[in-house]
Amino acid sequence: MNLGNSVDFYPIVLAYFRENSLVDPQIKSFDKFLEEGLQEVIDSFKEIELIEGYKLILGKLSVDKPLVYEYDGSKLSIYPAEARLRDTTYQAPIYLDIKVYSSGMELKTERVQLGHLPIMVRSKACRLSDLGEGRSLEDVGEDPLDPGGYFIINGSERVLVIRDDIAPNKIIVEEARAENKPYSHSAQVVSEKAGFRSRLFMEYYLSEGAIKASVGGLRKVPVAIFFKALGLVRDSDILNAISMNPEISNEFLYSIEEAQRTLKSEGPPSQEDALDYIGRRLIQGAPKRDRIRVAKDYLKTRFLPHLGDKESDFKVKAYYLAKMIEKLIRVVKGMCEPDDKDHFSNKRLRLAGNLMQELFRDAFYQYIRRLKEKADDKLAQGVYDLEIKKLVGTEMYITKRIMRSLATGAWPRGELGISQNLERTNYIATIHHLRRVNSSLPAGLPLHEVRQIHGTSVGRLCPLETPEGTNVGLVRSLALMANVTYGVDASIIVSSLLDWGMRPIEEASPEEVGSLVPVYVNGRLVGLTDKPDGLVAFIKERRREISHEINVTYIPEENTVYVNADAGRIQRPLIPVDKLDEVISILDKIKNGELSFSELFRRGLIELLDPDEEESALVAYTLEEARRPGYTHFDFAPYASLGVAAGQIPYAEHNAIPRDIIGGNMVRQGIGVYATNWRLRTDSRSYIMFYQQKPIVYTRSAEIVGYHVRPSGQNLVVALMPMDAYNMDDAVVLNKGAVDRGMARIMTFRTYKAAAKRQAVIEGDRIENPLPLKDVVGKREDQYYQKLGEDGIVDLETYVSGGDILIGRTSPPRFAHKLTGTGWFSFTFERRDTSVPMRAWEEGYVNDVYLITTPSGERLVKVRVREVRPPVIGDKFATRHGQKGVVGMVFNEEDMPFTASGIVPDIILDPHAIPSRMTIGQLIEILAGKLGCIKGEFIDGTPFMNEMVEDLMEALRRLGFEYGGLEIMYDGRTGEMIKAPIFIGVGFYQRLKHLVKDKVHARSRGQMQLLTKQPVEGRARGGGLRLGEMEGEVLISHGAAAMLKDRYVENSDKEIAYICKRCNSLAYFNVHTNQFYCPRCRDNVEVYPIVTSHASTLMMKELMSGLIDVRVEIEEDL
Amino acid sequence: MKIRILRLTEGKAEFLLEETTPAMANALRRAILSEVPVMAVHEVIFFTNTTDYPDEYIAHRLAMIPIRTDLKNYSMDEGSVVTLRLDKEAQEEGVVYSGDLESSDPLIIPLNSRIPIVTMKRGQKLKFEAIVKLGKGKWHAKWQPVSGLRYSYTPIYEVLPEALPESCKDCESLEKNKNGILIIRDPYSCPKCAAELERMLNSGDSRVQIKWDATRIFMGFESNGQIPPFRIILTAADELIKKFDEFENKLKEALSLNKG
Repeated sequence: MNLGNSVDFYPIVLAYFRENSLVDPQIKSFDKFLEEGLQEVIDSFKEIELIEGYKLILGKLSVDKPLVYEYDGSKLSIYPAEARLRDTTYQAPIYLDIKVYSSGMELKTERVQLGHLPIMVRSKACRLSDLGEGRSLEDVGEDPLDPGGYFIINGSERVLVIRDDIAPNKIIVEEARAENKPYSHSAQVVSEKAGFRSRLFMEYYLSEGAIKASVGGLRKVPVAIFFKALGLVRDSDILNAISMNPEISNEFLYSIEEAQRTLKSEGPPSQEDALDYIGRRLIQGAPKRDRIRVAKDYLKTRFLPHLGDKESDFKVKAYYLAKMIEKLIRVVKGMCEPDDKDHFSNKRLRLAGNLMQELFRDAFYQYIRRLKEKADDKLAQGVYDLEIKKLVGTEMYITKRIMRSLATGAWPRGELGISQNLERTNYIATIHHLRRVNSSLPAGLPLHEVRQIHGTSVGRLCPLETPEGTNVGLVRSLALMANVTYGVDASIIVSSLLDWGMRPIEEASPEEVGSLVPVYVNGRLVGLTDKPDGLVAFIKERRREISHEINVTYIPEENTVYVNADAGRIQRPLIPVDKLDEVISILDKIKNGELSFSELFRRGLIELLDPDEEESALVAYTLEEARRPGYTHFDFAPYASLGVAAGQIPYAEHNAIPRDIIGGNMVRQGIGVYATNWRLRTDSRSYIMFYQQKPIVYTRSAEIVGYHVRPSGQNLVVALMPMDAYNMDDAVVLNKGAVDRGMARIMTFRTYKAAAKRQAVIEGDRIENPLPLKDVVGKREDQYYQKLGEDGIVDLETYVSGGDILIGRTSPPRFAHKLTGTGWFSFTFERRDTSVPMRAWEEGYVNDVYLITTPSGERLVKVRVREVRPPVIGDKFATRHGQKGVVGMVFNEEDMPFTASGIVPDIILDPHAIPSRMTIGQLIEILAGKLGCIKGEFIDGTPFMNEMVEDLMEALRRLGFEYGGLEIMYDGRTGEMIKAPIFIGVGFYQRLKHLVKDKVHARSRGQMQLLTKQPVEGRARGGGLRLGEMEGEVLISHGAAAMLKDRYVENSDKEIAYICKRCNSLAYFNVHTNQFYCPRCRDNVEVYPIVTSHASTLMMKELMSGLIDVRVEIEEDL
Repeated sequence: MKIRILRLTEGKAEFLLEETTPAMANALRRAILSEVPVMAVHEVIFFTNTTDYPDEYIAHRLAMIPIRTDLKNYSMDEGSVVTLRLDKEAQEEGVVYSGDLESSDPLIIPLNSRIPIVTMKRGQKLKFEAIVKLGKGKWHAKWQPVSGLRYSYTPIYEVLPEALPESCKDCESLEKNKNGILIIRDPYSCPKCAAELERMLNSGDSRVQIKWDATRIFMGFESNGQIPPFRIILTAADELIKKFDEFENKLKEALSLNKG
């Protein structure tokens, strides 16, 4: 569908991507963490009080560039390519200035190395961002288009996957839907300050109208008590602060009475009474003075911490509480709708920077705790000359903790899978992985709403990119033009608001709070206004000079103004309709780069809306719509609301949605060139296509993402016809001629590794050929060692296949008792053979051999084996439209059908693949591809903006072709004309990474499990193919008893058990005496031999070991 | 069967088989595609390869290079081979072309000397011997002698007089049948009119009808250049005859065995 907009706004999209990169959410947030986040964590600890009047004050933290410490003690700079190759971590040392004070006197400033911090590739601290004069990324072994945005931990690339989380500092009012809840409505806010979180939860009881609040350990406190404790003592003040509208404030009368009752004070309760009550709830058995102090401290630090931690902030906290109650009552009274947790304004993304900050805070906290302990110890011992460096090992407390989390994906709060191995199947897969958004909710729960597409996700998260199955809707990915915020300093906004004339909340009276419109900045109540629309207009004007990240909205139902400048919101660029003509008039200037995207924002020609602000906007998709009244904004790039993978699908809007989802997921599995430095990389498994092509029918996303320079597929001549049933059920038929010429030809690589580990006392591992060595045990047959060179490693370009030893290695005995020596000083070992063999079923040529010394001084050998794999029957192919299939047959070229002009299709599809799946987009692509081939042009198939089918047909007709893409074809075997005309054209095909050669498996005889004596599992071990429960039932229902017995007994764990004729328990055959012996009768006995399975005798033995007797009753005549 | 040569140049051949059957024509087509021997690189022995491309990649590219073929002096026998050699150390970044290959027979060389084989960076070395052999298209596409093998039944256009394009009014090949419909039986005598009618047909103009004559089959191809087109046709025919001879012999043999 073409939206029919006569103006093309593509230059704006290009201008946006000249300033922003697709992996900005990773890199920019990490940069922010380096610049501010780290220091923020340090500052939150500020001072550490020690005993004896000593004190540590934490100063500035600085991050160095990535370094590696060699075994010989030298310190060298390291680049990412080297870290990947040497299985080491790309990390930089960080330093902290710590001042030591003694009774107010500064003793010294010590610069302490706080261990190491893994550095994100292409971030500001990365060496690639500052290569120096005349050096290119290629010179340091990088792909210039590699996006960066990941870490390198022990040589493997790890991504911190973006998480979405409930927005902090936001009041959320909900109806209690579950019947087991005693309350009818709830209001909650997750208050967060510098990583510290405290949740305030309010319950409203419909029956009497009571409101109770819980925060931390304080459960169900009548909420009016908090008002009094915070200093808003007079009942009329409380009611007025909530609302001057009696309809609302009267709802709170019950709560006020309840507080009175609870506090049991004589006369009106004072602030002290309220504090005393809270103190009593917090600690037991303390005197009143202490109770009040504890309560005050609690209210300062734990109660709504985002509003401040001083007693002077109590007033604001009370007013905030009042506004929260107002909103709750409004919802209860039906004056406004309850909040929607799935609404995107109630969500925030946790980016790599935030995640690293959480990790660093946890590690640093542990370090500081330990430091204080140790320092106190020293001081107690009378050592006053504190040397902080020597007190606590930072490697242990900081480096290792951070490393462990990044290597395993386990985060301090108990979340799993935060860091993942970066996908490197192809370029799109890599970028997609860096833009993935994981839900914080666990999969497997039957959560329907959170999985569904929310209206506010348009232009923010891709509606198509999500896996099928348990994770559907929970794993999403950023839309192409989704602009994630990294946070702006809110103080500028507040000060300019005060200049504008906002009433500061600190000076407001309860009456004002109850009557004026409250203004929240980043969830903090900062002031009041009586002109909300004026304020909104002011901020919209003012933000153009401050930052595009600021958003503002006035919500009349809640009677509230929200100003957002915090991190983790997703914005979406739109053109305000009143500026549309101006934008159109300067499109040429944007095109030639005279006007940048940020300049457009500064001029107010583009606005970036967050979900909150979009609530008060109406977005038009066509120019015609935009001219109609009511519309406020125009979406100039609807295709940018798809993600990077789904965006590759041309004519996607013509397809059935499920097929687009599948197509988007398969784009990430196509083999292409995942990185141009693949020759220098040692990925454990990788694929490279010989001749990748830029798709003839492309999309703008492909242009922007870089699919045109790192493609993963080829344009093939596609015919749609049945081919002797070799392409039924989604199979495809290939032309052998095309295969010979290199169609879809790929090479696969696998890297084998062997490290020679050092050991403490004895000699460790050695890389050597074990075959000629006499004192090495556990060797395989001789034939497998023949390909090893003199150094015990295979030579380059040697043909190797399953079982061949690639790296010869011997290891010392595992246990000391294996030492077969005589004297203490004369060790003689029986070393073990721990050589690395080639995987069974695999073959290839040795492409590279790397001899590496790791920073820890160990020898590491990596051998990379290459195999070229032309397509064969069983390999998987797919288009971008979710049409996947395996090769069913490869026909000789002369047997293939052909057109009168001698065109032979490369690939033949079954027409039955089309009607039920309704992938019309694919048909259009094939037609457009045909036209593109004839005209020698690339065709733009961008969703919503593409060339129309009618135009394509007309162009074909004008060129003398049948307009529907049909052609008369002849059968290659008989030479006879095929009765029906055949639809033939050019379509883009991907060869997916699922190759039959990696999957074919069969077994006749083989390994058995040690315990059960049943066949082992899995292809790698040559395991059996399980005849499962359901398959067994089939045989039973067919009465195939012999077959059943053959599978379950003969070819499994058949065993003849001997049952003692005297006592009916298990006996055994004693080979020494040649007689049957019954351990129960303690005698040689006569037995019944019975055929059974080892599993059953094993169970009998296990029962007997558990003191349960087992007897087998046998009928004699059987 | 009659053969009418429509065009025969150094690189192209077009001809019409008349009074034939699809089986006969297709037998010839298949023979051209898969039975005519030409030369191509069949085996590559690498001595050194420090380029960025693996051996298989270079070998595959070498195989795709069409090579001038001499059917007189070479046969399909085991030892009947030519070797192409390359021994190069790149002084600067550059491309190795098919023309850089040294042949052991100065007449058996790549047809085009500007086919790029591999890019080399400074200091990289490449040394190999490529063994060129005669082979058949049915074994591998590199041994195919032709490209774009055209094959079509003869179209008979029937057009209503009022729909006849202006340019075709005076065409000599027009016939009129008893219903007054104009017929073009031999489109090859006037390709212009045929193309015009074909265009009308493809636009869905129902005033033009088409019928197919399976007894007159048009064929055409472009030689890849290893051997000239007429040689391709003759060799293909020879190969067909050899097959029939072989069939005849086998049949006779079988019959004689049956008698005995």
